[in-house]
Amino acid sequence: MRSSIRFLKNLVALLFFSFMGFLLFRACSDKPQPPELVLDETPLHIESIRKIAEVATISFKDEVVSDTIEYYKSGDDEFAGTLRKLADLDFKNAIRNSEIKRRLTLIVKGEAKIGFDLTDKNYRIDQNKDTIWFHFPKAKILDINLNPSETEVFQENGTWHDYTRKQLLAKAKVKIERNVINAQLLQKAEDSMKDLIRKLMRDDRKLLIYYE
Amino acid sequence: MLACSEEKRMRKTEVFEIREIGELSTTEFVYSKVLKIDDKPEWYKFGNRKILISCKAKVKAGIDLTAIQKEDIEIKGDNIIIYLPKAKITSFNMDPNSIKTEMAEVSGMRSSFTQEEKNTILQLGEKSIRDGLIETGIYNEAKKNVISFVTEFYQQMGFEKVTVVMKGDDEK
Repeated sequence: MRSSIRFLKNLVALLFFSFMGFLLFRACSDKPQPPELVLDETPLHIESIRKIAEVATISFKDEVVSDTIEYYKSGDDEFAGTLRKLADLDFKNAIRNSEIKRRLTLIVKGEAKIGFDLTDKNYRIDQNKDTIWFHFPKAKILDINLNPSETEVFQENGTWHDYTRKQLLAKAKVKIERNVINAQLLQKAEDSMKDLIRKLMRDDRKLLIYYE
Repeated sequence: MLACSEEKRMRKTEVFEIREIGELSTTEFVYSKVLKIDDKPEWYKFGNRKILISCKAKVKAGIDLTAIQKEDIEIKGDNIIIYLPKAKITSFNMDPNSIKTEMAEVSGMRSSFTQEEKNTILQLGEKSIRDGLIETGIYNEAKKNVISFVTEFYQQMGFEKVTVVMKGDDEK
């Protein structure tokens, strides 16, 4: 009889520790992979077609982190929030109190293309036997491409609306734009244009380029 | 409290890559697509999840001018023959401001769509748009405009007769 009670006690203890171990493992291990989502077939519509003439001479790839955090307003708030987080069966949150109520962090890889927009035929070429003059507009940022395939939702605690993700992506775009300016890539694009034009000329005339 | 956290440390590394290119973009298409997901339940899930997201992509196509080799340009007096590389996609952008969740419905014990899941759906949408580009005629339109631009460009440089030949098949 006594041995049966001891066996039952050991079994309960074993089950308890196994369960705790499982919880700890789930909490500490990598996030489980989300189930695979499958896109239904829908048509691709063409909204508009435009004839353009853009010459990009510099490509700039950049990676930026865009983050937003909301903190608890008081200690009571923090305590209640921690309890709520512990009730989450997906174990998405830390098993400790944290002053962070929710957080969304994106890692965004973007590509900026810098060059010349000649769409409105706003360039001129003058030439004589010895010299050829090119008059181009000033270099500018033609595109900053931020695509979902290059965006990683690095951390997501709590519920976030779409506009927050949009705001974070807009912030990332501004950061990339600033990096383009700081790296003086507009000037570099103009230097690069000269090399490109020389390659396309294939004659011995003197080449002069003006950016207006 | 236990100190086991999912809060990963932030990456500090910034990656910059500056590259000299020479891309001539001659056409811009704007595409729209509705992304539809019907996330049906597994045996261990109770309830359904459905979502419709509309999105747009601005795609530019043209040619890579740096691929033009010396032997691709033949000059005979005032005449020039230029062989250009095949057309390619030069820019692809899914503007976040043109992405909209039109409808999301969650029932039973299912959880709402997270931003991570929405980003996954958008990645699938991006792939689907990229795969469908060739059938929309963007390459042909780009080629037509490339020939017109290059002809005019060389005429302004003083050539009387400009012949433009596009080489090979289009790049995907």
